[in-house]
Amino acid sequence: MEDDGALVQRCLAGDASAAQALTGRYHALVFSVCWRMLGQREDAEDVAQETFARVFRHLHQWEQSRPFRPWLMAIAANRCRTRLARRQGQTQLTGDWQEYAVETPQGHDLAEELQRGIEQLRDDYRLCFVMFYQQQLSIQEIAQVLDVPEGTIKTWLYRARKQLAEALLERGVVNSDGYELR
Amino acid sequence: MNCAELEQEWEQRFTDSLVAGESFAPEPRAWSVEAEAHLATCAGCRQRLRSEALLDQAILAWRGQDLPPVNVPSAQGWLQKPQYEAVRSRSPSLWSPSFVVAASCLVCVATGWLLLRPVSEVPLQVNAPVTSEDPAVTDSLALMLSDVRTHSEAAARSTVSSLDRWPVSVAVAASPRPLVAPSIPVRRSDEESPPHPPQNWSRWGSPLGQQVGGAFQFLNEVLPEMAGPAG
Repeated sequence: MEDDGALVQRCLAGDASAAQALTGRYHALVFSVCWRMLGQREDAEDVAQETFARVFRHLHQWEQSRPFRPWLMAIAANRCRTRLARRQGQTQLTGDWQEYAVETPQGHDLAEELQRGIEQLRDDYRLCFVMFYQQQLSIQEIAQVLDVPEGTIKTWLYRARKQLAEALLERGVVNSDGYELR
Repeated sequence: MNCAELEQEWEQRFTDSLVAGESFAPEPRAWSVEAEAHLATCAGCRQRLRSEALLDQAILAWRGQDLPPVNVPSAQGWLQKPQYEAVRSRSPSLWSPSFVVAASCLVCVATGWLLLRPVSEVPLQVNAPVTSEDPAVTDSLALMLSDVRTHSEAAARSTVSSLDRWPVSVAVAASPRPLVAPSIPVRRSDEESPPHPPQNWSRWGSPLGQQVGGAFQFLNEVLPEMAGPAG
């Protein structure tokens, strides 16, 4: 598979097929982050497209000595933050991720409950959590994306987990063994 | 061990799992003896640990969710040449609006400084030593200085002597009271004796002579005593 640097060089030379290949390679990643961050499919599609438009507009600014994925994810994270900030003061939208949720035998949809909790997290914690647990970016990569020290990422992850665990407790969710937690 | 200390140990276990590269569901590690003792007696901390275990299950289910179907957008429109060229020509441009504003401000400040700078700076330039680096300028300055030194004194003396010969055709004698030379606020007559005896201002006439004499009295006090062009 052609590496990111070569693809980018072809994009900069005006090769449309390279641009399509780069988009196809990372679109699912970008869209899933946007979807987890925003909770709305339409918003996620919009922000994913904004992200790629911005990526190609600033592609000449990418330093080839650095990995491409954190640079791309940093742009996606910033676009998500911007969209979330724009939502401030507007009517709170209900996420449409429920229709894609996985049902569990216990009747409680753990994924649905977790997504509810994730939407209550601070933006930084949410980005951190999504990138680590869903995109499986390393601590180093997340630190590059969010431009903060690795120790801060670890702290944010721990606090996000603690807040989510407390949210699950507050909502009276039972675990897979049927153990009533509250 | 209390609840806060158990929480610290829990955070340390989590951080260690990140360092070890365990991206998810860290391997169970043995608690310290103190932590085990606290967990045996604290229901709140046991519930806290159970909620963490539940969270791991929730994360597994959450990661397993399918993404909604979405088409990969066409990248054709994002890669048009004119867009790249527009960006490239705009970013390194010297004539950006901020640069033009900054340059305009600099020009205005420089012009204002040149127009409003103190006049006292001019004699400093005039009295600058004559150098051989710019002979045309220095020669001109030297000639100008020489003219000022030689001719201005003569011109002043000529003015004073001319005033002394002022024709008093106006009937000054008709004035019932003697004319007194006007005083100059800078130097009073009782502070120090003037280098020259006061002029006979009554010969200058009134009121013109009184005013002119008062205005030029300082020349009598400043100029060295020597015969003027008129003798």
